[in-house]
Amino acid sequence: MSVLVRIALRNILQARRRSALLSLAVGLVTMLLVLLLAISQGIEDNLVRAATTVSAGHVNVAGFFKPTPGSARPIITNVRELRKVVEENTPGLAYVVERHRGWGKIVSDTGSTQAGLSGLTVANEQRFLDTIRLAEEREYKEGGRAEVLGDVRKLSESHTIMLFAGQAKRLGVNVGDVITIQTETFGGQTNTLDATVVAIAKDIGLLSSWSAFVPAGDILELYALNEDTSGALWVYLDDIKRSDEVMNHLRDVLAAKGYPLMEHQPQPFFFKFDQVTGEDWTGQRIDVTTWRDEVSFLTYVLTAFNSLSWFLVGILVVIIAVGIMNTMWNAVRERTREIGTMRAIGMSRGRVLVMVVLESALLGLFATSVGALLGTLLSAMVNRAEWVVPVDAVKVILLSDTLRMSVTPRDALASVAVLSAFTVLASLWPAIRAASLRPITALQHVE
Amino acid sequence: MGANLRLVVLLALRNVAAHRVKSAIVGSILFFGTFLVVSGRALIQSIEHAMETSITSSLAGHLQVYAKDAKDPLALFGGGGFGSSDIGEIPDAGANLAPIAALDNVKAIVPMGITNATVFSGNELDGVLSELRDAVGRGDTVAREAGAARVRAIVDSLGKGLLATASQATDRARAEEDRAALTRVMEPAFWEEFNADPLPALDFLDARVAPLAADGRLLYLRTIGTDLQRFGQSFDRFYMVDGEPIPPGKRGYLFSKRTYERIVKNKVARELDAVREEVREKGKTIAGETLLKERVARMARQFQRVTFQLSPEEARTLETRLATELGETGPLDTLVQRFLTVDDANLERRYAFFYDVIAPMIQLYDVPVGSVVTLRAFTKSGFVRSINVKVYGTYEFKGLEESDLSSASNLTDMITFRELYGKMTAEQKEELAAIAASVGVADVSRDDAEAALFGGGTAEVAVPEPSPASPTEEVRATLAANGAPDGVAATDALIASAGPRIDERTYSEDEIRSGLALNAAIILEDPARLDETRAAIEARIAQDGLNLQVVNWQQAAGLLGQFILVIRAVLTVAIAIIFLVAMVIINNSMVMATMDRVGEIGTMRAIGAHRRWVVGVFLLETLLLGVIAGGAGAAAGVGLVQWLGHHGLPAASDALVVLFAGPRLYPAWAATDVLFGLVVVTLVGLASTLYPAVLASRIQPVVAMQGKE
Repeated sequence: MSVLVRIALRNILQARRRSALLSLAVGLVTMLLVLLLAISQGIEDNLVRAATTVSAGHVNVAGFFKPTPGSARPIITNVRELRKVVEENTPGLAYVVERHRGWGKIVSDTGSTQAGLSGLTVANEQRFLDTIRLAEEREYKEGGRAEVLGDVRKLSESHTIMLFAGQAKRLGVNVGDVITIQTETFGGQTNTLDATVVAIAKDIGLLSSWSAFVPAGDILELYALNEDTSGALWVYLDDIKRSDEVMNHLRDVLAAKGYPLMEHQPQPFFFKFDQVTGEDWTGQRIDVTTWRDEVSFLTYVLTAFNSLSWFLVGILVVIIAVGIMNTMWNAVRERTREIGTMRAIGMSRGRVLVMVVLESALLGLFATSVGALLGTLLSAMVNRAEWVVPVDAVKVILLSDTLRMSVTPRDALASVAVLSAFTVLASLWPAIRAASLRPITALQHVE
Repeated sequence: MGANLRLVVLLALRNVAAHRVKSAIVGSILFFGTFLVVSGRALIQSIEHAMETSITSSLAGHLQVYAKDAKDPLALFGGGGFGSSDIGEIPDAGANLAPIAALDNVKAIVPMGITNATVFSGNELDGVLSELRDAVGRGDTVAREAGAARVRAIVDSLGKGLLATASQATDRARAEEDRAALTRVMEPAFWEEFNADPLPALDFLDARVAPLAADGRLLYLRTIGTDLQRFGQSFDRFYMVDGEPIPPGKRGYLFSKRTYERIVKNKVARELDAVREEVREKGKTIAGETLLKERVARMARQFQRVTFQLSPEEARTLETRLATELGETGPLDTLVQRFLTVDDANLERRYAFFYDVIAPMIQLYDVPVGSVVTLRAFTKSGFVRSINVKVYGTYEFKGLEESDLSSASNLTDMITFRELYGKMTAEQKEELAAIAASVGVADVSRDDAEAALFGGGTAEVAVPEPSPASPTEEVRATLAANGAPDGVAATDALIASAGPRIDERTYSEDEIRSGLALNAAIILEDPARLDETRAAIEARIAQDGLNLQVVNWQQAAGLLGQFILVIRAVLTVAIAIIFLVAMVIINNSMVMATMDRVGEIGTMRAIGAHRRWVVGVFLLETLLLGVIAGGAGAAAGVGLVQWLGHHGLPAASDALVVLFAGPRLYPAWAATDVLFGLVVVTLVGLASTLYPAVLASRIQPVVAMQGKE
């Protein structure tokens, strides 16, 4: 075998120019693939981070309460009992938090904006405290200082609010200012509440432009709800990948305990009002969804990006395969007599085949490895630069203000493996042709 | 020279034919490249064109002007957030826009204002009660009895639900009251009272029972207030579908037909439309698509949206008709559910049955044409404003009926917009100031009443002396001090007091045009001269010192306009990458082909061929290949676009529906696409041949003599 490797290496080195060009092409495509996968993974990371901070736990237990058939209130009643059931029956549970849901207008002296209000008990929200990063004053105020003001923990005091930088900018408010929250109760009455801005967080893409955080009690106050009511139970797991499995498990458990369930519909809760309003049941029904369901209106970005990437890489692979076939074809033809000689002195057809394939495999492995390495380095550099995207439409696509690229070892190895495999496949035909040469014809071959 | 050229061409031709493998490889790459460039470019141009048409001929015009000191950029179709962007104000639109209207190439300028209004579509009980009241008023005993029976049916069904569930509200006392009210109405005694003296009973129903069912739908309607006369004249695709146009100077509301069909329509009808569209347009089957099957199941559960609307007589008729149609008997609720559980075989038949038999019995649209709606919107300073206007009809833009962008907005008159926005007419200001004065806001002058009441902190608010609190808080505090239970509620009450009647006044053209607008669409005589006219407008703005800025339709479209640029950039980068890799591969292939021809080239050099001549032969060879393969690729690209243009490219997702301005894109190609493709491919081909050609020209004649190896 080592002889074959040596021969293959010699051939590659002998045709230096040809090998270099081909490696360049293969390397470029590998690098591109790694970069595209890194962007895709970056978007996915942003999506998961934003979604599980602002919109959902890994699994959500929520639902609607209908006092009359024609109404729909996004609340769960008797939440303590339900929470106990969930906590006792979730495999791989990290912890459960309660989020109260509201929707209202936030008014400052100089502006206003509408936002979904998340009511939380900040003392129970270690993960939230870890993920939310506060913005520096200059991010929302012109001529502001490069320092972070405010403290998320102050959300434990009632009549407080945490905004995102984009909202603070629009409202023209700073930490310590008082804003007014206006909501409409389910009965149609307008309620208001004055709240102090205690913290301003960095934006996390589209989701943060319509989210604000207030203490849980404030939502109860605004909507005149009793203590044993909440919007949703956010269930965090040790492993987010088990979300689907846990969701199904919880559905079974809750059904067995006699909770009436809504059927699974992979959409965020605010898309379900129209449906729920029109159904004829009354009382409480529980809805169990995964984080992906709650941000399903955003995942199309990821799908579109991935389809486009695969389309592009697909075309490139075809072009490269053509190039490799051509090159190997040439390599075989140039060495027809050499191959004839080897066959004549007893080399089997199989070994000839292996010899030719090995040549392209070595070339492919080398080129793809270098390409993947370069792609990884480039991604790391982009991440370090924390490059702020200047175009809003791109921010929407990336679900973040900065371009974030994340190369997983799995993606990098897969890129190397897949593209090397293609180089091998492309060289099979020339290799078979070489192996099928009869020694006598090959020896007689004249250029 | 002539003979020389002929020789070069012949040689190149022979080479193309002789080196088949190389020609095939280079040719196929060039073919594929041209195909991709031609079809890709044609597609993106078509998308751009579709978007341009749906944006410019519906709302935006070719250019838009708005205040220079705007906080946010203009985004006609909404920005990333929830429609609360602050695009400043054009205080006196008539005077401010006149200089621009006078410029060359400006066909028309249409003032506008964007707001997000909500309409509460009301519940079934409200509708039935108002009919019942009418019947009582007319003394129509038949209608009265029918109405009373419907109210009893709905109350029965409501009551069962409400009584069965515990109230989740903190206010237990209130829950008890509600329960008592319902129980009373469900008793026969109540209806005896009603028969004896209907009006007090009706009042009780209206005041105590109707609110319990008050969970009608809240419709979010993006609304553009505009000078409707000018709008209709300037956007020539505009036409009315249902109802009648709003008479000149009158106030009113027009739904876009698409909004009307997709949002305002009865939920069951809407779902049935959607299911049929999925089956007919997208070729899906109910049996084969789980999602569609679930959708049908959910639709069937909405049966109350049909049954609640039927009078007892209609219910009986429908029960009989359905029993015949379905071939089974049972209670109406069950029959309607069975009926709505459509499958692939009976979909068309039931669709027709629904519209022929059921639709005439129910109110097919939650807000019927000709009715009065209460529009609610947050004014600029954040308070809720309600206004009653008549719905005159629905409208569409010709050829853009399927475009989500063109049909994104509903229309109202300029006066209504200004009120929703928080700018009131002089009369209303006086009225409001009078009310305000009566509750003790003494130190606010009449002219400033609105600004003071609705806060704002705008420059013209003349608060007598610097006060620590904002004007809004001051008013609230004053109101509270005077015994109003809650400052905001009182302010709302003030606003609402101007509410329930409709304003029947006819406004003069001057009133409509001279007041506030937020932005204005400029329509050009010749859209090709857009940039030139834009520059002229900018010059005029600078010259007159107007507080305005001008943007083109793409910028005015906000995020959407950017998306098309992003797609274009992505496509360009993708094609560039493809060509870069293709160049390397072609180059490699050509170098190998050159090495094969060392002897031949050496011989040519030996018999006197110049280096340049050798390079020429090589380049010409690629050029020939480029023309042949590129031509074929271009033809294939054109063929694909033609085919798509005929059959339509279906929009796979909602995002694509917006981009395609409809459910299908019918792309068209232009000669420039082909030309562009051929030029690019030829250049790429030549660039990748240059190195091998130079390599070949360096071959010394002596090499040929030495033979190979």
